Amino acid sequence: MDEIKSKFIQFIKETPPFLMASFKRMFGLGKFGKYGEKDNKSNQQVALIRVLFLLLIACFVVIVLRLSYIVSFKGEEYKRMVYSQRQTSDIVIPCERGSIYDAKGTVLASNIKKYIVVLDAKQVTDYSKQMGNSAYIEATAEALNQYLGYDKQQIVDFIYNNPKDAYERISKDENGKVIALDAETVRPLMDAISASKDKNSPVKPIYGIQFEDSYSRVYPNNTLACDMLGYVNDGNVGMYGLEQYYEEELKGVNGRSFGYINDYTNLERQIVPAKNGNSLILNVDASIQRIVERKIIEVNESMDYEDRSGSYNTGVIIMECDTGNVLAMAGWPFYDLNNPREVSVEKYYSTKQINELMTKFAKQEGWVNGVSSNIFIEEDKPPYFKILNEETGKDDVVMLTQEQLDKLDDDLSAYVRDGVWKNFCISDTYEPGSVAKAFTTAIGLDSGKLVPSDSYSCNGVIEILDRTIHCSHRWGCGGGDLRMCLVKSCNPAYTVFGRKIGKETFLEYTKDFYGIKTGIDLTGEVSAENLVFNEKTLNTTELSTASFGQGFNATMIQMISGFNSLINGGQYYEPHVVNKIVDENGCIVKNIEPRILKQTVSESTSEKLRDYCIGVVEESEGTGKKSRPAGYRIGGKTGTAQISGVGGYQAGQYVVSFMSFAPAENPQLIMYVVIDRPNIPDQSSGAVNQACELTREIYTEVLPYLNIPMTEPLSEKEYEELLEKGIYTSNIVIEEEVPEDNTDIADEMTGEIIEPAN
Amino acid sequence: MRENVKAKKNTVKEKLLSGREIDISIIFIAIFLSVFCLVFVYSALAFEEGASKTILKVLTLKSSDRTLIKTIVYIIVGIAGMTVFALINVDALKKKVPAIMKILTNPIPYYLISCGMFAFIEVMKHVGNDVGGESEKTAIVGAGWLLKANGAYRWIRIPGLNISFQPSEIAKFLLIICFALMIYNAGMSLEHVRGMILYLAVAAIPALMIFRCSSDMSSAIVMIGILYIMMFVAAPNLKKSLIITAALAALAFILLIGVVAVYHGKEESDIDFYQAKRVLAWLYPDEYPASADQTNQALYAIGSGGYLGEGIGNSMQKIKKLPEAQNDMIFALICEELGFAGGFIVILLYFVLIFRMYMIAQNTDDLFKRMIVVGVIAHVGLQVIINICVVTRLFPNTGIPLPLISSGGSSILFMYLELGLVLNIGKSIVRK
Repeated sequence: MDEIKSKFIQFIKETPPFLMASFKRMFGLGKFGKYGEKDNKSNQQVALIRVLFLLLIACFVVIVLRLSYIVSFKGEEYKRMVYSQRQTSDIVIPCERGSIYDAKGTVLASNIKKYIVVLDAKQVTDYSKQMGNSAYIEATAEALNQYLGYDKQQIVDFIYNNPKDAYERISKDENGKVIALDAETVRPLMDAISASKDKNSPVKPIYGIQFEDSYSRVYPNNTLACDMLGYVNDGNVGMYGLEQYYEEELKGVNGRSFGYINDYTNLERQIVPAKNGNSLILNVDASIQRIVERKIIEVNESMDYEDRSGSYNTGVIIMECDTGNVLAMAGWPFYDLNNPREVSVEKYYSTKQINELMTKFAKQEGWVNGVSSNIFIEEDKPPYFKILNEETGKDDVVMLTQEQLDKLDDDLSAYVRDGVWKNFCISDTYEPGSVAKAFTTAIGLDSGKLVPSDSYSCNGVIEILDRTIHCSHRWGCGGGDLRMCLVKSCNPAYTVFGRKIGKETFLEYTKDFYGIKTGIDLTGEVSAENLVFNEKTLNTTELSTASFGQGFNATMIQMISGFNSLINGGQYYEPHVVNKIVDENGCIVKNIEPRILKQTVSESTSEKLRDYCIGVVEESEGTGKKSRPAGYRIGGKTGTAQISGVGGYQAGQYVVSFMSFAPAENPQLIMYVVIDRPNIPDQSSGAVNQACELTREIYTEVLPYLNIPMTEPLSEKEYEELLEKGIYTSNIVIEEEVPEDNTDIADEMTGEIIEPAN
Repeated sequence: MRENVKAKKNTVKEKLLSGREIDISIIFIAIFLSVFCLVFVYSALAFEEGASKTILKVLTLKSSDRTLIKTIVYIIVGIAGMTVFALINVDALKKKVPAIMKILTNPIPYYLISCGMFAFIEVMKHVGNDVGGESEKTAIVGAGWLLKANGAYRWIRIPGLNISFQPSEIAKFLLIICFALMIYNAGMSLEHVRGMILYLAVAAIPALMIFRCSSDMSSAIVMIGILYIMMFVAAPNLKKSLIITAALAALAFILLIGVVAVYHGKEESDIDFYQAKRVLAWLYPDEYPASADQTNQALYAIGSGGYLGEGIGNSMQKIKKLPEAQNDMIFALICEELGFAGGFIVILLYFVLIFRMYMIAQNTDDLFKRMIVVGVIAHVGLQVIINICVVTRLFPNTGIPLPLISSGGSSILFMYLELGLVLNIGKSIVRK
């Protein structure tokens, strides 16, 4: 014990001088004998060096074994990893959606480049860490604040909280949805960033702000041709109209950018460029479209009987007779293609209608029932329903919760939006009314079942089995031969003609016209095949009423395409909106030629029908007298049809229409005007004149625009009117004014069906 | 006539080489490795669309071309330096300029310069504000005297000349000479444990300074490793040096266990101590994906190279995936482009290099010279082994360059100078 103790003490005592001496010796301080001078060859050292060498060799062997293990057993797996990592590093280069041009090259839809601002918090964090200075984070936040108005503190906080986030889109709207900013908005920031990275820049370099390209659809003419064009949704996918129908052509293919190794210089970033979408060149002429839409707005604004917009719908189609090319197509109400969701309910519906609609939705939801329930919205009170309680005979009140009210509001706006977005001309069906008489006449003539000399003497009413059909002239129009019956639009006459044609012939011909899609290149066309007669449903009564356009439904595009074939010599053209598809360089990808689908009637029938239709406009008893534009002869056929709904025909609700072609002798244009429930006091009588006048207004401007020479002399009054409209005409004979024919024009009317009284 | 010329040549040769032969194989291997260096450094960088810079107002070069030219310059300077070091006749110098040689044979200047450089970094760190970014990766700080990358101050920069060097590489070179001298002076102290501890304490000061001032743990480890191996070889009492070795190994193991015990289980982002993260990522690569990523990418590169590789320049991993592909990870790049065969050839070259130096160490008579050769062997061997072990996940991730192959001027230059010392020593060996 003591021995250890004394050894320890000795050790303690010896150590400091030993260390001191060793230290001095190591650094060569003082005079000492050097260890190396004695030790010239140490066998132990040589052996240790050998051990060291062998150890290194052992390590090398282990490394080689490890390498061969990795290569042999993990090679495939790691190679897959290498490739899978490469795929994720691809960058998408957005492509540009194809544009839409009218026949004259006017841009109807195109794109502008916008920028999504991306904050790369990782980059700026890494950089500021590197520099040991958080001022770079401040600089980034400051730049965003200065140029784009972001809250500086928020940006700084975001960067500190997400130092690894290299991709955060920060350009957002109020609802937090990512939006792209205009080039003008971000340009100053881009310039500031590149300026700040300059060597001599006085400010700190701005890191971590990137810009992502994005294309945004613009419609330079806002509402022009809205129903025909359709719009694109947030995902840049076409909705409705051409945008949806030609989605595949328009959308293009996004490009990609990825790392690629070439054979020589290691590698570059390989770019597969974006393939921009093809563009559409339409048959539509924006000038004509603009005239049509202006006239529609004017006529709708002039109809202000009730507190609502001028009509539920107003549709106009203008087509070329010899090609089926659509020159204009418009369906009131219009909406702004640039803001398709901004459709205000109040613009199109009166409070009364809104209440009715909300009641309807509430019934669908099952919140109220009973026939007399109606919503009441009063100021300072929550909305409520009054429902007639049959037992007490008093009104019960049903209150609405806020949730229910919101739901109703949503339903209502969705309903209104759908109504506004869809294309009335191709998606809505209605009973065509008297325009169908032209079809019936043509069928009769072509099949030989009717001859021009067939006549009918009208005394105002005819009874078919259990129904009574009235002529629009309450006391009888007098009738006449086939032509006069069409001119006067005599319902009783056509009940007779219809039966004369017979069920089989009628069905055989009409299947070419009704209940089939025309094949127009627009999304949303309906065929109405369940709303037309077939062999089972077409009985004597139905045949009688169908012959003057009642009891079945059709779309505007079906009517105009069919009617076109009746007056152009029997050729049924497929209607077309698009003329050709071109790629981004303007090379033609596809030419869409006029296409005759079928021969409907013979040339001679067509000729007779043209003559009859001219009579509708020219004869003093013609129903379409008011449609004649100054300086031109046109032909046409009027139509008035009651709206059919729940519980039969709706009282006082009519669809009035006018089908016309111009010029009369050699038709080039065919136009169809339909006004759905015009907002005037009496829709039944005289309403059709709204359609006729709209037709005349449009022709007055469109025919001179198309340089179709005037054939008729102008009266002084007409000349003045044309001048007022800015239409200057040469080679005109100004004729003395003839006294106006003051005989009352009997307004046509649908054959009102009066149920047998008993 | 012919013989006359031959005789003349021999005299020149004798004068030049002080009568003995230089080991040509070391020179050839070094040049082979430098060729690898140029090919793969360029391969690693050439794809980058680095900013072009105009040099001397005439030549506009991409950043990869600039790096290549810089590396070529360093290699040429290095080879020149190696030649000079190899040819110097030390005995003649001792006679001619005894004063200078007296200073040069004293360990103090080497030691002071080494420690001084790190002290300088420490001071400058606190002096100057950041001057600006040289690139997005490195920043000039310390009133223009320091370069900073990845948060570490590893370069001293001379402001006017725009030249920067890595003090840790210089320190390795200087300290090998310094400690060889110390062992020469005081080798007998190493007979006692106390003496060895003193030696290690003296060695630990510069190593700790590297770790503290440059945040360069890997260089510190390599430096301690070199000096430790020198001590182990020199220590006369094998039993005691084995005890010290065992004690240190136990300490290192306990440290490792401790780190794993303390940090394992914590979320990766919650660990601030990045060395701990690297150790954990080495042991549990799936649990610490962010820290393990660099090594994963290196393994993918090696694995996808297969036996014969993708061909020079065809690496996919170097594109934005394999970080430091021209530097610490260059072995993975070689394996991807030349496959297992390429990697094996590189290892073989190092083996031959070490073998030649081993032969010199075995046969030299002088303790000082032997210690220098042992130091250089330890330097090359440790760096090669640690570097390759890191890329093959045999060792936790740490940034150590592959001698002569990794880009980096100071590392290449001073490795050549070390080889120059070895060659000089090799001249004195009498061939049998």
